[in-house]
Amino acid sequence: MKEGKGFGFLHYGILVSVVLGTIFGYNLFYGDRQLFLPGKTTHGHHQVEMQCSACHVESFESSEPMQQACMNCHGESLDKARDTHPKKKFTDPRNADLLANLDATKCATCHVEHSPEITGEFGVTMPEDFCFYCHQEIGQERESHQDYSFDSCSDAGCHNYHDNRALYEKFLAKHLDEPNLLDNAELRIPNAVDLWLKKNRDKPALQQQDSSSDAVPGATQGIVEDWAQSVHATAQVNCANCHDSNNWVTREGTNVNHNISIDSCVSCHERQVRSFRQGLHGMRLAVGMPPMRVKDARLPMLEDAQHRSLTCATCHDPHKPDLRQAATEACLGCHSDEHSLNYRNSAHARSWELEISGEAAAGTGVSCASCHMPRTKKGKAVFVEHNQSLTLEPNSKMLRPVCLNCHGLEFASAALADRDLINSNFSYSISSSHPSFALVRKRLLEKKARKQKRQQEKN
Amino acid sequence: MKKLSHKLATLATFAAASIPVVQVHAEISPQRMADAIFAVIESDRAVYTKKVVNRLQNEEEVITADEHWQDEQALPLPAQMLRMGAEGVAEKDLGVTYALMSTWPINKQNEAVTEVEKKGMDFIMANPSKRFYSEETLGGQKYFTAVYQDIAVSEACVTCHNDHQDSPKDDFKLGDVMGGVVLRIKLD
Repeated sequence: MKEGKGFGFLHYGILVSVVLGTIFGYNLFYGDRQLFLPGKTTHGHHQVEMQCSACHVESFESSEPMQQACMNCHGESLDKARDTHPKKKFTDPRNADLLANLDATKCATCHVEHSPEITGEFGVTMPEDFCFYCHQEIGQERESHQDYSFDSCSDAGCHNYHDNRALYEKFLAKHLDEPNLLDNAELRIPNAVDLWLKKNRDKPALQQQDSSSDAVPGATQGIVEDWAQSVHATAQVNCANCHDSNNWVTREGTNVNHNISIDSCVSCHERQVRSFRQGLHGMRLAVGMPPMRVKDARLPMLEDAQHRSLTCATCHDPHKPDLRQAATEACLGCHSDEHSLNYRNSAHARSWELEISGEAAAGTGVSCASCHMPRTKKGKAVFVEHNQSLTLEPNSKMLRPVCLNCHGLEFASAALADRDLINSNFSYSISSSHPSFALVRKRLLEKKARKQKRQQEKN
Repeated sequence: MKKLSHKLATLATFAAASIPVVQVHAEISPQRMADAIFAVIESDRAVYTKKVVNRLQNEEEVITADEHWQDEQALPLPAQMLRMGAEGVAEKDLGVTYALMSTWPINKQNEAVTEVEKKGMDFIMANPSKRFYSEETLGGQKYFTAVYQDIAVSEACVTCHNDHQDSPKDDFKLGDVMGGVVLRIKLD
């Protein structure tokens, strides 16, 4: 009895502490760290939520290092978007009163993480009428805006907080009354291989007998044959260029280095790999984590794709690279949301089939990649942007780099404001009118009247 | 000769290294510093407005200046040039900031905001040849604040502001005070 009495409150306390300490310690250092997540992360960050230091750089004492972490990942895309509310616009002390209401110099003012109960579209955790804080007099300044409520500013794609490149008045005025489908509807053609061939006319394509497959354990005749037919052989990329001693891990068993494609590809495809790491498919690699796994995705994915990890080779078979396959089949091999499943029955898909069958000109078809991986031009080079996030949300970001290549601005804006239409993968007709354009037409008439009045006064 | 010059250069280097750096303890008043900074801002802006924008847009008509200069392949407006410079200075966090404001701003966000700015705007409009100086506390920080006239130095300023749809005033003339530049220096 005496011994039992000795194992009292203190002993139980120590035991419980040790057990809890072991559980938390194991979870922190060896486990998935889920016990330390204060709340569900947003869809934009959930892939990297276990890499706490990606955002919480040093400690929780100061917000500045975290702000810098935001900019490290998002700064470049905000610059590209010509951010209409950058930090530098608000640091002047004359804005002190405004900042006291809404500190626009910090991303975390509007994008609080781990707070699913207050998180709205685009990871915004402010009430929808937050524009009121600084623009409460817009109704007096613009009579046309009197009847709009402050929770409707971003409705229907009228305004964005950051990216207004396709939404400002003069841009809309320039694109008034365009047809739904432009006469010269056509996308740029990626031309990396053509440019390489122009520079390297004296270098004949490698043949099977030229392959350095002897240095690659496990290389099969089939793989070598595929490679010899590929654009890699055309561009003098031999087996050992990718399977060098640092990158190559034997394929015997399942011990394949997942990073082999990233580490090898980057030496020639620097821009593609860089933008891949900036997007949702590659963001885990950018913070030093293993590649994203399909089974961890929050979007609906096909059951038989759950085992996949996302590297370059997931969409591009390095021995048989096929950009057409990568542009649709690769996407639809995993994605099974409503929009993706409806692609095959869409007008865009029909145009793509015509292009790949050779019945229509190159650049006239619309694949998944045509919209989600826009083709951007820098100098003579046409490059495929591998960061889908650049044009994903808010979807008006897609207007300029994508939609306007083929469609009128008002039609495209109306389409992107219609969620049902997007889900159907643009499979039915819509009215091509958008409220912003009615306002612009009215403004132009007012401008004309003002000009006439001034002219009359001069005369 | 070459050897001699080399020796002299070496000697000069040693001499320079042996001279202690002179510590300057002279002080400059916030007002003098503000006036000097404004002189740079005003001169640069006048040069850009007259020699670049007015010349190329209004006289030679080879390129326009436009608010959306990136899309229009045009020149930034003089007001944007000043603002971009101000943002660059603010990013350096040196305790000096400046901004354009007006009683008739095209963008209403550029009206006088603080009490000192409002007083300053009233003063410089009523006294076109005098400058306004004051102190104010904003966000818990004390500042020396100066307000200077922003004058229509070229036809480009007048035409653009008179023609702009959102301009509350359409009868500006060359030499008019169109607004003010507010310049702040952080005080310890």
